[in-house]
Amino acid sequence: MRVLVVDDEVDLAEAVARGLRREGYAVDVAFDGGEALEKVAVNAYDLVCLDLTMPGVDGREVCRRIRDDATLAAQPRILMLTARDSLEDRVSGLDLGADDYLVKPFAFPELVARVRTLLRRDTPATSAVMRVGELELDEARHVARRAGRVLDLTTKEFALLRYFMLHAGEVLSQETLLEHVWDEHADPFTNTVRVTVGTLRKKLSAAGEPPLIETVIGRGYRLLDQP
Amino acid sequence: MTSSRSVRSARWLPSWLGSIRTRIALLYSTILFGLAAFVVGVIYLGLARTLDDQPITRKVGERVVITADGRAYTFPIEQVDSYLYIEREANARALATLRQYSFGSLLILFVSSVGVGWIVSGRVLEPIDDITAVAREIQATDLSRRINLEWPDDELKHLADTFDDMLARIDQAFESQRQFIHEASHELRNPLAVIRTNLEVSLADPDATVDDLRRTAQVVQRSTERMARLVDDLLVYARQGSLSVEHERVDVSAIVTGSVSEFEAMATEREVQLVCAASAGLWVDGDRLALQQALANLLANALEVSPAGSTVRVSAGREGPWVWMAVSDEGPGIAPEDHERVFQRFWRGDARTGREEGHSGLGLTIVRQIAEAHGGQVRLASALGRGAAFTVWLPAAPTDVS
Repeated sequence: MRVLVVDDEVDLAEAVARGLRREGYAVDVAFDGGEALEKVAVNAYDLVCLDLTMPGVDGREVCRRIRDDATLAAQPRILMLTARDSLEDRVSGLDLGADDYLVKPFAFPELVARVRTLLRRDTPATSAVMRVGELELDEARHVARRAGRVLDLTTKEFALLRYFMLHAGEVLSQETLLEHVWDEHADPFTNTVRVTVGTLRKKLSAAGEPPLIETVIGRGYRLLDQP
Repeated sequence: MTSSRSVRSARWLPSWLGSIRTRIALLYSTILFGLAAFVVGVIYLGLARTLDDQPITRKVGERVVITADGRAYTFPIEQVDSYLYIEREANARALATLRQYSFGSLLILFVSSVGVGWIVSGRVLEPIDDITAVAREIQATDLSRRINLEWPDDELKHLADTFDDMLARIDQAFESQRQFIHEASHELRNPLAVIRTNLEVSLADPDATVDDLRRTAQVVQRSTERMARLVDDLLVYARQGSLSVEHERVDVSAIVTGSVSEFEAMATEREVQLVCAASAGLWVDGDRLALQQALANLLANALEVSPAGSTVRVSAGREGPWVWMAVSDEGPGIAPEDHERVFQRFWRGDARTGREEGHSGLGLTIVRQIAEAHGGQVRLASALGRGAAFTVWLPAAPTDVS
């Protein structure tokens, strides 16, 4: 899951990014509206945390332009962050196409919970625990299990498994995985995706179970949704 | 307020006299009664006197006697009226009838004047009830109500209109206070959000290193400094807004030279040359501290935008009835469309750099406030790339002491 944090408060944007990265999200940061629009045009974000009041192109404008941009392959979720808490502000923010609204200063766990909820929206899962076949992933507790056995995963492997589970049964290309699970600092010319998929695959079958992630030659990887 | 007034009147007067309507009706009828009684009394007494003075004898003629030494004496020839007794009796009866009628009509007059007074004062005082009703309905938080009295253009209409005007002014003052509090809390929320998020993210991270925690502490320190500066400026702003300017004779040239020496160190640190040109004896009536604050705000801004090696000029002078002090820099200048906005509360040219340098966004607002509190104004001359010059114009003291 790839997230863009947009805020002109550098210290705030970086803290949010740091916290979200620890939750296993691939996070990029933009410090003004123009930079945010450039990054949205280049990278496929699943979610944008957007500050409403910024100099120059403000959050409203960024939100409007993202929603009007027909060239985007998929519309990201937009979570507005703002110090303005009047009813009109909230209503106008949501009317512009934001999916949710959080007033500063917010509690970070609440931000994470909202991010999680927003990213889950188009999957059938309704709680923080996702299940695909034998696999079970508890986002809030950061625990993944296969048939009850706890998997010892790194943050990146956890994030990769979560993305696979959100798109169970679909063939996901290396580029798609790189875009949605890694941030902009990942080098697209290394085989980091292949390596991480490999270690994840090994950990999933560490007790000798049959493999869950199959390679679709020439196209990518697929998480089997039927055991 | 109204209750304390009515309590006081209730202490002095019986309750049935508590109404101004009753009092006016009674006063009106008492005065009318008094006047009428006086008139009737004068008529009665005058008539009684005239009747009493009527001689009981009637003069028929005069007899003139001339004595031996040539003096003449006149003697009236009188005739005693035989109907004298009857005449006196008739007079007494007429007076008694007059007395009766007078008392009767005075009584009727009193009663009817109380009634008429009651009705008339009721009609006159009717709008006061409307005003009271509106005043009672107005809550401190909702000042949108107005009396809008439908009434001929008289004193009560003027009272109601004045009341409406006052409500409008109070409403506006409250609204601007609300707006200000809203903006100020919004400004305080941003650094608060920075602190909170940084602390929460760092404390929740079990693998945070000492360096991570130190970085977090530095962020918290930066943010609290920002909040402290903002609170300081908010206090200055609030103080300027609430207190009337304390007037004393102030020499602007002394303020200029004083402020320049204060900022000398900051200028040297930024490698900016600080030039001062002020003729002595520029007297104004004003608040010394406030004027120092205004110039300090302008100087701090100028030094911050000045590139190394440039010059900041501080000057002061007199132009007709005005004394001016000006600060000009060779910084990046201000675009024409921002000339008005720079004076707005919490406006920052570039929010990010402005905030990092610890601007509260109140500096120029305070300068303008101080200038206007002195009956003057502040002007800006600037173009992009050509620096900026702020000039504070103040009315010169009426008699020049120089």
